[in-house]
Amino acid sequence: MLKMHNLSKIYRTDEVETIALNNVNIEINSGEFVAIMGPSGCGKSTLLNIIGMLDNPSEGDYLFFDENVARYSEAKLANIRKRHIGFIFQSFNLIDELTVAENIELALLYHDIAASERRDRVAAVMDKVGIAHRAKHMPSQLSGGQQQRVAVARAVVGNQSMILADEPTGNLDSAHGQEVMEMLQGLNEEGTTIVMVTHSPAHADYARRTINLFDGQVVTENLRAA
Amino acid sequence: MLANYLRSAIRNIAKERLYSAINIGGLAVGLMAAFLILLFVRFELSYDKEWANADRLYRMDTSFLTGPEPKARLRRLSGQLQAAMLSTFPEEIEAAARLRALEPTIRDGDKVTDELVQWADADLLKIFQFRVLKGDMKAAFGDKSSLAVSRTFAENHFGDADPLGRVLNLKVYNLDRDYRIVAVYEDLPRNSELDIPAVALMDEEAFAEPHWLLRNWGSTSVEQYVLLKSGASWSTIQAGMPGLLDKFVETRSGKGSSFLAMNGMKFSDYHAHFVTLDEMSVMAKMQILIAIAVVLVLVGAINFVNLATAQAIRRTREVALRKVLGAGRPQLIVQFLTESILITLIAAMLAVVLLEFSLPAFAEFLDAPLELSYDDGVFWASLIATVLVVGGLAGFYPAFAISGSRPGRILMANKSAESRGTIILRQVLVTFQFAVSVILIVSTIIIYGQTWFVTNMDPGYDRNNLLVVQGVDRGDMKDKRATLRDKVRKLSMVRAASMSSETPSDGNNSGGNFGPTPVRDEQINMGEIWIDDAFFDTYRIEMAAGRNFSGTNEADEFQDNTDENPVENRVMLNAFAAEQMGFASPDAAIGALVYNGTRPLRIVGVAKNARLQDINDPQRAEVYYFTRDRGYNLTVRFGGSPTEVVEAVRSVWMELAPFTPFVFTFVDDAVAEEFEEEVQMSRILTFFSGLAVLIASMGLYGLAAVSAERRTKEIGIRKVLGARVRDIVMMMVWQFSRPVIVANLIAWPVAFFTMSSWLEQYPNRIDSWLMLPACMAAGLAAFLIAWATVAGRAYLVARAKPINALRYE
Repeated sequence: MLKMHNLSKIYRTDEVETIALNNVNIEINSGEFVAIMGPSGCGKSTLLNIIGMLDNPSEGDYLFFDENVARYSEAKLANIRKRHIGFIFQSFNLIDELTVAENIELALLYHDIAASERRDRVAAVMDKVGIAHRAKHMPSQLSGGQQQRVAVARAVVGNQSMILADEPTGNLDSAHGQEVMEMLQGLNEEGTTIVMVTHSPAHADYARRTINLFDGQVVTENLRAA
Repeated sequence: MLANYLRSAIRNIAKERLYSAINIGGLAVGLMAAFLILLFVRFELSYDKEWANADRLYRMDTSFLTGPEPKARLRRLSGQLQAAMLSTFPEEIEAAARLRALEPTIRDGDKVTDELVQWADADLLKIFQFRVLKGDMKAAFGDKSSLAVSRTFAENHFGDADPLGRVLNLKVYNLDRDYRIVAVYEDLPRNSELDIPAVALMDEEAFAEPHWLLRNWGSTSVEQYVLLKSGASWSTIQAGMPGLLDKFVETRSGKGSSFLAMNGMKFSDYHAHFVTLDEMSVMAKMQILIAIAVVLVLVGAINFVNLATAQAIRRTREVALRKVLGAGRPQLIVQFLTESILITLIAAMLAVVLLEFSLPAFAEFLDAPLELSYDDGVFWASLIATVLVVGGLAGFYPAFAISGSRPGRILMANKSAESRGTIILRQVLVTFQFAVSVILIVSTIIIYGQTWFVTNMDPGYDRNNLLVVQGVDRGDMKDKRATLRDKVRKLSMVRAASMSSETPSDGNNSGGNFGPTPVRDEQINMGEIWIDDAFFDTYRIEMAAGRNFSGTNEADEFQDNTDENPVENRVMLNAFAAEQMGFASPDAAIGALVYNGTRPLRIVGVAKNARLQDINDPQRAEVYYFTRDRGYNLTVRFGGSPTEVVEAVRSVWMELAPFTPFVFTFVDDAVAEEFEEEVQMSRILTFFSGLAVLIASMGLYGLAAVSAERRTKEIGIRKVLGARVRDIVMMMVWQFSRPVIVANLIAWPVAFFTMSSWLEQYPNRIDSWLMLPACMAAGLAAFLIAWATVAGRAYLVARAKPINALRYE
């Protein structure tokens, strides 16, 4: 599904040059569940952002379905992104002024889908993640676990083939964290590719494969025994 | 403590450069406009307040009660009124003086000019105080060949040389006399209705003829001033006026008070309040300007409130910390008020600087001697008051809203601290700003439209390529005017030329009573114009019925007659006069006999209606008399270049009367001049509505910036979910379009009713429905401005990579 070849990301300011990613080579296939681990500042989130096309690499190639997107403009990336990739963030990133249903619908809003179909799909996905009874609530009225479930619903409502999760359980207590992990596992079993950044070895165990980053470089890759 | 507040305020102003610039800039522009208006209003309302006995000084005006027209009050009145008043109210009147303004031909050796000179009664010196620079003012009123002149008049004629003792020859009507200059006085202040470049003693004998110079009760001859005795009451005089008119005015039938009225008005109120008909008084205009000043300051202050509340979230951390450290709500309120008053103060100082730089241009633009004097207590007091009121009002809401928050909630939560009330308040204020802008834009469009309409409407004659040579009855030309006309007709570029007693927009309106019978009560007031046989050809006015006057038919020519010895004269009418006299059609009037008083008139022709009067007046009924050579003006219809025609006609004039100045105007210019006031008003409005729009869009830009900043995260999320730059810009533009839509819904009816009533004063006006496109144009302009402002800012934010918005939380 995606392949990275000698990919680097360097942040330059006037005085400092920070190498966030250094010669990274990764390949992820459709249907995989991959965890990315590593200490703070090792480049996990940068990698995830580049995979999610929220950012461009400084050097190297990024093949997404055999299309090298490394130098694509933001507009082109946005177009690929909205068709294929769903995002889940540690801090949920729901819009405070919109209801639960509206937040989820947002992911369909920019996809030329009729209003009635949007409604049906939002209803269906809310059922699936178990927050249908909260449809009219504002995010601020929900618990953290519920908010993250809304975020998961938003990430999958557009039938995205890949979900990128940036420490999805970081702001949750263990019970809610596990709930979210099970939900992701379920999605993976239905065929969705999942790439997740996490600090928690326990949660990384849900993944088939773990990529360990250190100072911007891939140090090890572990495959979990099936 | 205050030092801490000030330091915090100054740092905040410095840190938030964009918002501070918008706040201070908008307020400064608004305050500058307000100060400017204040100076202008003070000047306009200061007219004639400084005369020694201003509380007892009155100026008279007159109204003619005949005819179907509404009663217009006229500034000048008969030269006969003064004597009648002095003999009727000897107990009340201390002094009275007339001013007869004329434009004599003044000869000083070879130099010949036509200039305004006043002939006045000696009591003028008891009523008005002149600052005498040289000579003896009383001597000017000692005999009938002495002249007192103003400083400017003296400088124009004699430069630096001593004017005392110099002799000027003045020639006007039957007066032809050498005057010796005996006094020089300082020019009268600009804020006076009096216009006296030079003054001589009134000369009843020399001005006995023409009759209307002084002696006709029905003429508008002189300005009349009356100084009451102290303790006397004006109401006594006002009450006795109808009786006086009945006693002194000679009429063929009826009473004097049934066709004339005389009123007095305190001279100190005259400039601000006198109106001839129902046009806008100076006072009304000043009230509009003051309203605009208040609105401009409000629009600027609204920016402040909006940006302060919108930024409040950023300030809440500071507030929360201060609270944790023990600050109470009152202290915080004082702190925020200090900050807003400081910003207003900076804005006010900037406004004064702006005003200093722009005042000379404004003074010229407004045609008033405006200046900023720094020892002017009223100015400083109003400046300080403005700063406190505006600063207090602008800071009041933000101060209370921000200081009221609970510190714990702010320090813990990462949620928006904006209350619904704050957001609504901001929407309301932006709506207000745009409503004001739209109203001002609509008003400006309508005033321009009305001016354009009237200056371009079909007046019933061909207004272009008409030159008017004025005053062909003056001086040496008086006896040669027929020759002048005949010679001008022979010029190659001249198509036609006609002498007449009136020309369009010349301000002359002679009239008399006409009707189908000699009975006074059945007659109505109509205009009288003496014309020659080329008049209708020259003006290109078509006949409605009958025939034009014939130059070869002596029976057409007007003969002098009296009521005692009436002669049947032939006349033409315009179609409106025929209608007013009761004829079913112009054709029905041909050959009919009508009357001017008891004098019979035979109608030979009826011309189509044309607006030969002031273009702002309603169509007048007119009676035309034929006279070969009695006209006061020569109208020339020409082809080709106007300057060539003027030069050709001038050389004919100089050949015939080298010592009488050649004075001319073009009819289209004279018509346009009637609209000077409207044009001036629309320029003032354009300027101030431009400022209002500018300030409002500055505020909108600031709000868009705050809003984009506040919604950075949201925009990032939307972009991650696939929103394009265009989607984000559209979203922001729509957010700010809503208040503009509401503003239009409010502004349109307000503008419609205001401007409808403004248009009512014009008999010839544009249709009311034309206000709809004007409203739509103004609304569209408001949208375009709002969109351009918001879209620019939104584009910058939307273009950024979403990751930048989401990385830092």
